[in-house]
Amino acid sequence: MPMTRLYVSVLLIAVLLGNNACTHYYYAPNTLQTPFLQEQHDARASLGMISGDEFNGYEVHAAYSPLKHAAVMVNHFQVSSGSGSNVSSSEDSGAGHLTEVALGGYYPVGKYTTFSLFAGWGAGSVSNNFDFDVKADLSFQRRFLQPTVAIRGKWARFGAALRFNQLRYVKGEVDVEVGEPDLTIIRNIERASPLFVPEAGLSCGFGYQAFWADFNLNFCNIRDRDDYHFAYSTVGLSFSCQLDYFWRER
Amino acid sequence: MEKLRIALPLFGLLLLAAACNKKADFNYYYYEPADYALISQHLNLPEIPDDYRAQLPTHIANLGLAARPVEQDKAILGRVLFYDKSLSKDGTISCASCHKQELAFSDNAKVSTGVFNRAGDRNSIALGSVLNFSAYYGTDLFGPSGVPFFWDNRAGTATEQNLASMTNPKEMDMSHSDIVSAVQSKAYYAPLFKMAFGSEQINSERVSDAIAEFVNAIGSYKSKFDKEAEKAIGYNVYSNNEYKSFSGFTAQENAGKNLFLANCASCHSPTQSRPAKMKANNGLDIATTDAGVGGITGVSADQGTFKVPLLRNIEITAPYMHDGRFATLEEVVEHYNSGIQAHPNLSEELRAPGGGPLRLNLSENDKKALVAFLKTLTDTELIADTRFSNPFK
Repeated sequence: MPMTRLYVSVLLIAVLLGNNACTHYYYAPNTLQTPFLQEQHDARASLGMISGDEFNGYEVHAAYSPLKHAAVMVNHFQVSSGSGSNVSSSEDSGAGHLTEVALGGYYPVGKYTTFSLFAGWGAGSVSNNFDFDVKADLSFQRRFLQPTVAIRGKWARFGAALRFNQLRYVKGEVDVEVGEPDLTIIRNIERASPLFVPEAGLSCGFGYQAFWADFNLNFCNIRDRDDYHFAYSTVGLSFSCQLDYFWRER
Repeated sequence: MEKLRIALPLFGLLLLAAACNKKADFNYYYYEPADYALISQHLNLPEIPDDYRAQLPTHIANLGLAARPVEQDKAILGRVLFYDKSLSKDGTISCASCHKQELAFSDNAKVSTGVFNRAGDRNSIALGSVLNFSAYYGTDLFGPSGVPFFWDNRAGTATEQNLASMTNPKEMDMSHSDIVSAVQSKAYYAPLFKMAFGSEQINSERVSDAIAEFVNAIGSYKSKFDKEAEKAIGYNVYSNNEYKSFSGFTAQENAGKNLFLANCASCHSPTQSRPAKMKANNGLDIATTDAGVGGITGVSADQGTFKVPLLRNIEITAPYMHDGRFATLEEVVEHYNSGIQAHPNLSEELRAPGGGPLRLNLSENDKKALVAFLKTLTDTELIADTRFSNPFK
């Protein structure tokens, strides 16, 4: 068991730190937030790193339950690849972001387990740079329905979620000099939008009282994914704080 | 409170349902939007650039000819320059004034009129008579085997040719600095030069280079003749021993083809791919009235000789010969049938066994058949091809 943990850790760290070459993706799954809510006024916020095949970035998650069994969730996701921040570079690069809000309900079952269902809407964009001044900028909106099961103990917690997305690309500014195969990929996306994108996420965390660290794995399983050049998976490492710990009576 | 607890998740579902349903609105662009806005004020250039690559038909490719890849951005810029009348001294003449697309890039005047109504020296050569300039024209690209430009073959390269025309007092009468000034005065050229050359710097060499690239993209290979030759691949349709008929030709056109192969192809190419001879005297006059190639080389054997053109689009490129003396194809055929003069440099192909001028003694039906065949060389797609049309609004 210790060896298995070691292998997983090494793999995650390698993926997080390595790989700065560039592939142009037009969508990547953000972490499926597991809210770990059990009572009214439960609240959490987290900041994490996320990485996929040839891109890296960060995420901010927050969830709050203003009413018993009802909550609001906010996610922000920002990634880049290659020399992403330097758009005047001749190197290929890419960048993307997504901000979304969701409302939903959660239902604790027993002391450790919570089921939740959130419905949300978000907007984002992806910008791929191919060469000097050659760009493809796409913006999209995403509606989603996310059922989640969360199990939390004193020292460890686990979450599993599905997310059913309707991904609608609303606008594109595409320099045709991006060339092939990207031009065909972009036209495929335009033609197919809105796309149904099912995703799955697993979360595994360790912590104590207010502070937790979670490993996250996220998978995107759209049919004909290569036709759209969507990233298949992302991995994340996030650090979260159960804010309610500080105002709840102990 | 209980109602609110139910309302919040329901509101989430409402959010899900009410989100934007707008259809994807993708804009594909080639130029920077601000540049294209500027360009579009003056020019009808497509936002997605035309593809100027030539796809020569298999019956041509099988001969070992291939079109050189065209630099798209240069060809686009060259198209604009080709039609720009400000590149002439009095602002009335562009390259296209004497190379009209609807006439397969020829002129219907005996000799073209240049700036200030000055008459030129010779008939405008039809650019559409050529299979594809990039396939074999230019000594810069093909060495000594490259076909040179002008009736007298005096220009080895397309850039040399178009600069000579722009600076010719009887044509556009511009100096190199005039050319630069004219182009610099128009703001829309800056982004076009940047696309073509990587910087906005304008000089006469770049102007000439771009026009040459546009001309290199011009070619005619979609005539009825080409379509039939394509269908007939595998047959030795060009053999002198046995002529195979084209199935899509009329009997008269096939008869004309046979006459052409027997009497004309040794100079004008049986495949209409590249001329079999670089120069020839075709017996228009008994004595030299225009030195032609001889005026450039100074060689006596070249006196009165001229470029041998291909005959693509010959139907729509009247008048004919270097001086435009023949108004119709019938006159041309009659010249070769009975009118060849005994010029001292008369081409061997046009001499009878005794050395005198050849007489074909064609019947009236033969002559009509020959003309019918020549009309199968017309490429209507070329003259309607918007890639080569006037881009100015």
